[in-house]
Parts: sequence; C-alpha cells; structure tokens
Amino acid sequence: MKKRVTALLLALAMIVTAFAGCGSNQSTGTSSGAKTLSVVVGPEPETIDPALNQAADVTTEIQHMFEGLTRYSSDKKYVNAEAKDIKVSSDHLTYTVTLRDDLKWSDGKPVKASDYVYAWQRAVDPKTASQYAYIFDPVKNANEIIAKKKDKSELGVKATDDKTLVITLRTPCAYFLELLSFTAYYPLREDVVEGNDKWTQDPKTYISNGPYKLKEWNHKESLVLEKNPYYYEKDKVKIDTLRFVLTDEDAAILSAYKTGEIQFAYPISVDEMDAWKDKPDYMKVNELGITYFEFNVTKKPFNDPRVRKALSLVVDRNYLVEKVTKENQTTATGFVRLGMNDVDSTKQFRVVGGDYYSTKKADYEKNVAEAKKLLAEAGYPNGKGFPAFEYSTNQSTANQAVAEALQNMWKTELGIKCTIAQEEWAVFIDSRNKGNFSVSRGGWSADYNDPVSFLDLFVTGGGNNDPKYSNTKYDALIQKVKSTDDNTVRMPLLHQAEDILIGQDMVVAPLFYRCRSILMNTNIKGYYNSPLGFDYFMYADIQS
Amino acid sequence: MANYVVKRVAYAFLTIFLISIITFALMNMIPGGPFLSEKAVSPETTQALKEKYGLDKSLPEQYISYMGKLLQGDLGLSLKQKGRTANDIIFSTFPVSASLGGISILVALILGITMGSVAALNRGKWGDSVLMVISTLGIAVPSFVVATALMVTFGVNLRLLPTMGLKTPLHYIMPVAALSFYPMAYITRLMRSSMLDALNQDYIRTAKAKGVSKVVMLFKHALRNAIIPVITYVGPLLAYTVTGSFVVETIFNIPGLGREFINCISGRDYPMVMSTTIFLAALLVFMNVLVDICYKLVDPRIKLK
Repeated sequence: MKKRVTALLLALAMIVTAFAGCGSNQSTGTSSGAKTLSVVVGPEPETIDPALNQAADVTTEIQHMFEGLTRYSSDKKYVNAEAKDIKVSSDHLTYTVTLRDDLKWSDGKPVKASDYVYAWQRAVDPKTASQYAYIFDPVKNANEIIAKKKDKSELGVKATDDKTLVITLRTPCAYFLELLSFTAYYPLREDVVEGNDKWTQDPKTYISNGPYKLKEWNHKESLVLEKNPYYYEKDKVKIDTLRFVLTDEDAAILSAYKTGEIQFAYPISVDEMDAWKDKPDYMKVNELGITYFEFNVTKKPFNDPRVRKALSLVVDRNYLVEKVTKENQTTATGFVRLGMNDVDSTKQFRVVGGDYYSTKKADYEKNVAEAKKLLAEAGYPNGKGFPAFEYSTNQSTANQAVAEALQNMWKTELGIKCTIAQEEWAVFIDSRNKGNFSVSRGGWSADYNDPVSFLDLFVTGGGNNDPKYSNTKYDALIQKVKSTDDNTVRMPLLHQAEDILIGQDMVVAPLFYRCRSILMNTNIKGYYNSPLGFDYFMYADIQS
Repeated sequence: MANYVVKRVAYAFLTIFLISIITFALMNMIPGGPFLSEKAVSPETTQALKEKYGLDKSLPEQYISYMGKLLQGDLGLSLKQKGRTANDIIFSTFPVSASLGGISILVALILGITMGSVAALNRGKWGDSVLMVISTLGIAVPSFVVATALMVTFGVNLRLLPTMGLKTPLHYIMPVAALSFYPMAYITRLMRSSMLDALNQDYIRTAKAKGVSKVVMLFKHALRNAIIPVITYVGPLLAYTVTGSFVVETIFNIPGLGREFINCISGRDYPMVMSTTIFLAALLVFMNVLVDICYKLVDPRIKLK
C-alpha cells in the first residue's frame, strides 16, 4: 500500500513538472521579429464606442485605434492629425477643416468628411444617450439637440465635399482644437455603426482609422490591438501588437508586472509606493485633477464661510501627502490646479493667481491659530457647541484613510467631532448629488486643459455643484468667460471667480493635486502621456 | 419517485419565481442608479438613457416586461457593458466559472474523501494528526489569504505558475487550490467522523466476522454509508463555490460569472442583477434537487416523499 502511494505521488509530481514546462511566456515578445507590448491602464471598459466613452483609461485604449482631426503630441501640443489644415474665421466662430489626402479606414476605404458629420450628429442625438454629449457644448445647436429642441441635422457641422468640413460654433472657444482630439469627436463609419448596437463587440465591425485596429476583445481579460496597415504613418508605429490587460486589482497588477507578463502598470497601490519609489521603473506623472472636500453650504453650521475656512485651514496637507497617500502630491493652495496656463502661456494660472493660504510646513501653526480664531468668531470657541456632523466618503481604502486623518485633525485642533459615513459608490454619488450630506469627499479631473473646466462646476444649478452653492456674481463671471476665447479677457475673470469661490467663500477645501504613479520597464522608449491622464504607446518602441 | 421529482421541480420553479420578485423589489429599493458617475449626468441625458433601456416605465411594467422576455430566453441588455446582452455575458462567463468551480469541487471531493478515510483508518496515529492539522488550517484560513499566499510564493517569487487568466492547465493550479482548500478541509473532517461512525456499526462487525476482505469492507460497506453526509454537503458546497469564486476570480483576473455577479450589483446594472441572480438561483435549486435524488441512489433506506 505504501509503495503504491509513493508511486502515485511520484507520478503526480511528474505531471505537475511536465505542465510547468509548457507555461506560455507572453512577455515582451521580441522573438521572431514581431514586437508585443502588454500594459495595464484600467479594468474592462464599459464601452469602446468613441461617442459613449468618458473614462480616461478607455480614451487611452480608443485613441490607439481611432484618430481625430487633432492629436496631443509628444512635445505637449495639440497638432493636426487627420486634418491637413484648419482655418479659423475672423470672428472665431467658423472652422474650415481640410482633411489629409491619404486617410483610410482599417478596411481600406477612404475616410470622408461625411464620416465626421455622421459621428458628431450621432454623439449629440438623444437616441444615442451619450453621457459625454456635453463635450459638444461649443458647437452650434448641440445643446438644443441634446435637449430635444432641435433635430440632429441642425448641428453646426457640414461636409462641403469629401475632404472639407465646415464647423460652426455657438460661441468662440479657446480650447476647441483640443476638443477635436477627444474620442467623441472621432469619425465613425455609418455603414457599420448605424442600427448595430453591437458594432464595438466584433473586430470585423469595429472599423477604425488610427495607428492600430482591434484584433480581439477578450472580455474582462484583454483588449488586443494590431497595427493598422492602412494608417498613413504606419512606418512610425514600431510595436506590432499592443495588449491592454484589463484589471484594476492591485495585487494582480503588481504580480503581473513583477513576473514580466505586463511591462506597464497603472495604478499601483499605496502600500507598494515605498518599495518602488526609488527604482528606475517608477514614474510619477501629473494629472489635471484635484482632491478636495466639499461643504453643503445650505446646511448649518457650514453655511458660515468662517466655519468652512476654519475646517480647511486646520488641515495639515503635507501630512496627508507624505504619510497618508504616500504619493507626495503637490499640496493644493487653490482650486485650479497647477499646470494650467494663464494669458501668457509661459506662466501658470495658479502662480499668477497666488496661494489662498499657505501650505508651507512652517506656517501650519499659524494656520491653526487662524482657524481657531475663525471658529470662535463664528460662535464656537474651542469647538464648544459645534454640532457633531458626518463626513461622507465612498468605500475605498485611500479615501477612508484621508477621512480618518481629517477627522483626527478636526478633533485635536478644533475640538469638533465628526463621524465617517462610508457609503457604497452608487449610494454615495446619489446622496452627494442630491445634497444629502454635510461634508463630503470630492474630486475632479478636468475635461480639457483650461481653468474653466474647474471653475464651471459651481455655477448655480450646475450638475456637479454638489455644495449647492449659488452666487450671482460668480455666475455672471463664468458666463462672461464662456462667451469669448480671448485669454486676455478670460483669465482675469477666471481669477476673480476663483477669488470668490475659495478666497472669499471656501466652498470646497482643496487638499492636493492629483498625480499618477506608474511602473514601466526601462527599455520602453517613446512613451508619453497627457495631463488629462491619457497614455500614448503608438510611437513607443522596445529596446532589446 | 416520479411523483417526488415532479413535486420538487414544481417547488423549484416557485422558489425561482419568488426569488425574482424579491430581487426585483430589493434592487429597486436600494438607493443609487445605473447612470451615476463622478461627473454628473444631465437630466436630459439621464431621461434619454432611461427611455433607451425602458427604465422610464412603472416598476410593475418593467417587471412584467422583463419576465416576459425571460420566458422567451431573452435576459435583457446590460446597462453597463454597452452593446452586450445578459445572455452573452452570462453564457460566456459561466463556462469559465463552471470549469474552475467544477474542478475545484472534484478536487475537494476526491482529496477530502480520501484524506478523511485515511485519517479515520489511522485514528490517533501520526497520519491522522497531520491530516487534522491540514484540515483545521483549511477551515480557518479564508480563500483570499490562500490565493494571495500562493500567488506571492509560486507566481511572484518562484515564478513557477502564471498569475493571470485561465488559458492553460497550468493557470488552473493556483485558483483551484485556493477555491478547493476550504471545502476539502471541511469534507475531510466530515468524512473522518462519519467513517469512524460507520466503522463502528454492527454490519461492519458482521462483515469482518464473515471474513470479508478489507478492501471490500471498506469500499462496499463502510464508504457507501459514510459518504451520505458528504453528499448532503454538496449543495452548500455549490453555493460556496459560486460566491467564493468572486474573490478568487478577482485576484487571478479570471473572467468568470462570480465577478460579474458582484460587479453588476454595485453598478446597479438592473437586467444583469436579475439575470445573474435568477440564473444562479436556478442552478443551485436544481442542483439541490439532484443531490436529494442522489441520496436515494446511494442509500436505499432513504424514502423520498
């Protein structure tokens, strides 16, 4: 009996080792000449329909397959892509675009101006129900079509011939060339998209015009792209197969990076930050986003700006980024993030606008004293009589850690009590949007690289105005900003608006500016990213 | 027997019907909705989305329309995975989960029954003690710990096994080990005690007295009786595998139904919530009917009423 057991065990061991031998190695495949790059930028996309997408990670995926009239280049500018030439009229309301002559879809058919007209009309069509349709706001009649007041054929875009596109805007727009690079503005093929809700599901119908085309979509597993032979710059594309491994599970991402199954990993977890920070694989890139907390300004005692300022001033932002998030983000001294340009594009909006409070370590004590004074003036000396309140956040370890740090600072420095209400994502978003909160976690990533993408949030009745803030002067300023594309007029107005929002009213308490921590193999060259959180691998190469 | 089966199947359908009503009610009672995001969606767009997916109708209308389509085999459109039907999602992810779960259940049963029997036959000896330590460990340590420990050891440090997906037989080793560890341990303990019980029965003594060989005695007489509690456990084991697979599938990035099941609830993907719940409920209910019928086959003393 014993012998038999031993024999069985040996046999089992043999089988296991035999399997171990045939483990497929799918890492950087430079063998046989074809190059493969495997990356993680996010989980399974909700959709890869350019008109419906609004996620940054999915934009990364889509923009490798599609291309718009302009694109973000490695020297950090928006340059012509499918457009050969863009002429802007003197009133800045009409854009006449001439397409390149060598444009083809991934099935070999030519890209026509009418493909753009079709795609844009479809994006704003209420039947398409795109959550991102608002990105067409500057285009004439877009808002009316979304609200079902006009027909989609009245959208301000016309194809005068196969190569010419005439775009009419409702109002001058300072960042329209940037918008033209967004996924919703990509052209689509009416013959494959129309009437087929499943067109994104099959590589045969997912016909695209960018550097890559879809090869396989293995749901929840990977999105595999191969070089598009009809792309006009196909010679610049060095990597033959681009694999987006789809996951957002920290442990899975990290182990896949360590085993070499992927060569680019984002996001990486806070716990791992210390272990990787000093390695050459580690990159910290800025993202045009901000983390803050917001007050429900209609609720007592948070309807008093002194209370809001006190709760904001007492936060040790340096402690948060060093000890809690461990990502060493830049501490926030205003709402418009560092990295956005002012009138003079060599100067940053944030630098021109200055700091609304100091986040220097040496000034923390002074801030706390100021906070105590403000709280006393508001009628709560040493926190006496301050009602206990709830701080709402969604279930996430990172947000929970920030919440606990804030709770502790408010208690020890101001003597006020708060409890943390952790809510499931859908519940959290719903109650915050309805104003059912006192103080809540907040975050925002810009839609486009312009301060108005931040400050537009808090106009009266705005969809993202969770604090339910209302200030007619503020509304008028934003209104004026949106009616011109002249930065010498816009920027001073935007500064005035921020002065009201943060300097005077402290509607939200900015904490830190977002960044992304990435791991990338050091032999990958030519990768770049945009501050909007998009990654570009189409001109990357793997050096052996 | 036939009567019994018909009755049980009828009850099964009633159970599933009740589950569908309860799920529909609960799902619509919890706050939040499918079209929420950090960036607010305009009321016009929300309305357009509701119309597109039929969520603008009254709840009873929605329920009846859903159930009507269900009877025709149409499980509805996913609200979150644009362009995919629930049929497509469930029938592409279920085989993955089923193969993972099925293999895990088999491994757990084979190893558990063997280890339990071996322990019982060697009661008090060192072999018994070793097996009991292993099984205690298996019951105490949750599957995500097992999964993570395996991944770190064999995937990251030793680099012997792949860590993502389920493409080759090699990919199965770690997820199966993680998923089957707990039920294997449980079955070992169950099997050990029922085997000990069986070995003390009069009919075993009679068999021994008659001079029946040890193998025949063990397999024909003792095992067949001792295995009944294990069969009873197969029902709950299925349920465990379905829910446990969520954790394991997430850690090893396996595109299975377990992950879908949880994600569609947090995403408020209503048709997917209904369809996965009904699908899994039907699976569990009918497997339990099957298990009950199996009793009869194993133990003729049991009367099915």
